[in-house]
Amino acid sequence: MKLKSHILFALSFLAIPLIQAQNTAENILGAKEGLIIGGYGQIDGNFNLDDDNKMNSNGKLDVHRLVTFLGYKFNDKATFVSELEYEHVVELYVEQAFLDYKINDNMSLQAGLMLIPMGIQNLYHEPPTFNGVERTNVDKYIVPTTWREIGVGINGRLDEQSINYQLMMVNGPLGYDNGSANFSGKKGLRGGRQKGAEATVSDFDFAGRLSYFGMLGWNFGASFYKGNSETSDFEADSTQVGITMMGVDARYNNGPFQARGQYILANLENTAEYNAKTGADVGSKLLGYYLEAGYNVLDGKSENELIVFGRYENYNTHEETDGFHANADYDRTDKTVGLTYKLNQGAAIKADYQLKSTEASSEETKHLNLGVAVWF
Amino acid sequence: MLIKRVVPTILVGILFLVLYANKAYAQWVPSEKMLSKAELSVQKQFNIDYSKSAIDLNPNYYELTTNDSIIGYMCLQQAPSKHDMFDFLAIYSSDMKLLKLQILAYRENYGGEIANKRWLKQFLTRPTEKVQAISGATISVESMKMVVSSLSQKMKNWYQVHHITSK
Repeated sequence: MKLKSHILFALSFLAIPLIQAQNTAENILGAKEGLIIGGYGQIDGNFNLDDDNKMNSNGKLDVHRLVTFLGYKFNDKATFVSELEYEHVVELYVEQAFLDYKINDNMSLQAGLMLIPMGIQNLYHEPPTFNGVERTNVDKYIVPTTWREIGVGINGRLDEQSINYQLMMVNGPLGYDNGSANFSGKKGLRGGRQKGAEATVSDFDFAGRLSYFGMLGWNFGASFYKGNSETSDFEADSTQVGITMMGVDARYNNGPFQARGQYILANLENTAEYNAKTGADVGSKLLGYYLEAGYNVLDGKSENELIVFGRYENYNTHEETDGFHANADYDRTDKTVGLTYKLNQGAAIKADYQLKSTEASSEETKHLNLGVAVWF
Repeated sequence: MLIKRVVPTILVGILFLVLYANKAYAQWVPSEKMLSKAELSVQKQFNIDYSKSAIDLNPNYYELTTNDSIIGYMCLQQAPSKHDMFDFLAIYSSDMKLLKLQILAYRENYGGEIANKRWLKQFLTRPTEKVQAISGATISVESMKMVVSSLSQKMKNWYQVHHITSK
């Protein structure tokens, strides 16, 4: 008798997922309110190869990023969004934390720690959404992805015009911190990201992005950023640089074919004074671009996608320098070919092979990357 | 023994079922504003005065009539985006051909590109699986494809049953 009752009890639970499955298919629930849970992650293997494509040094296996998305929808207008990120397992960051208030169908107000809308990957950085195990290096050395700072902004969508827009006033990167330079010739602005952690403010900066999706298959974007870097020495102008960054990008989809490209240019002012004061070698112009094309060979044959892709990428943090010779090591080119196998829109296995070179030498280094990418 | 163990277990089971079933079948009620937005689109589509009455399939699906003859159907439907739901309008002809799709409300910051009219028009001219992807809106695109094709199928089934029984 006891056994029977347990079986009955278990059976009553079995019925629940059946009803829920129907529910998902029927989609008749009301607009969601309450807790939203999600996340993304990438687990990578990076290997350096010699001329015979054998490992020539130690490789790296890394839980590169593991991000938990937690949101709360208070009502149809007010939503809180947060992303907590574990990077390389031991580093903990807050990647986003902002309150979003919908004024009307075309406009929302946002305040908090937000992503700077520059280029494609800083906004769309969930690993299954891009090809290649690692993010593009234009989006590491020119756009310091994941670039986020605290500020306020508006964004929205104009359906009639097929335009998404974003405009924000944010804190800038910290270029000078108690005697040391955070910017560098090699990594540009990357070292200055404050990430919302007890961030120093001396100036407010502005960032914006427009994207146009009115042409079938295309998505065009234009981004800008304008302002001054922050400094711990409030009185010293020589510890700040002026930043003007502009970017254009395009993405294209047509059946099995996909392509994307991005061009980012940053003009930095006052670098001669900044370098003289800090001993750094920051360039006065940073430039990077990439072009990528891919083809889904399983198109029409399977629900899954197997994308074969190739990418050419150039990024130079010394495109121009003020008062000293540019370092040709910082003019870098990556050529990448690879595979993205999508088991679903949110889960992918990736592999790619990279040839990296610099303007300083004709030698190319070879790299093999393998990765797992998820988004839910 | 039987009454003590089995009956409460069944009752608990039924309670769960009722709770979940209620949640599963909780009916979405579009706002008045959304409904009038949809009606305006229907007016533009047929260019004729009409009256509407909900069909027994779903209170948000309507039969549209002029002088007792059916001119078409309008459906207000929800579908999931990444973390929320969006609402759209589907207009069908009197013989259940899809005539128009329109996004009525998109709530998330990402993926709103599916509101693009040219993109939505693809559903009228090509099979759903041939509808193109949109960069940056993949999840909502897939959701829209799934829900539109399921809605059209449901409406066609309803139409066939309805017509057989009415004959």
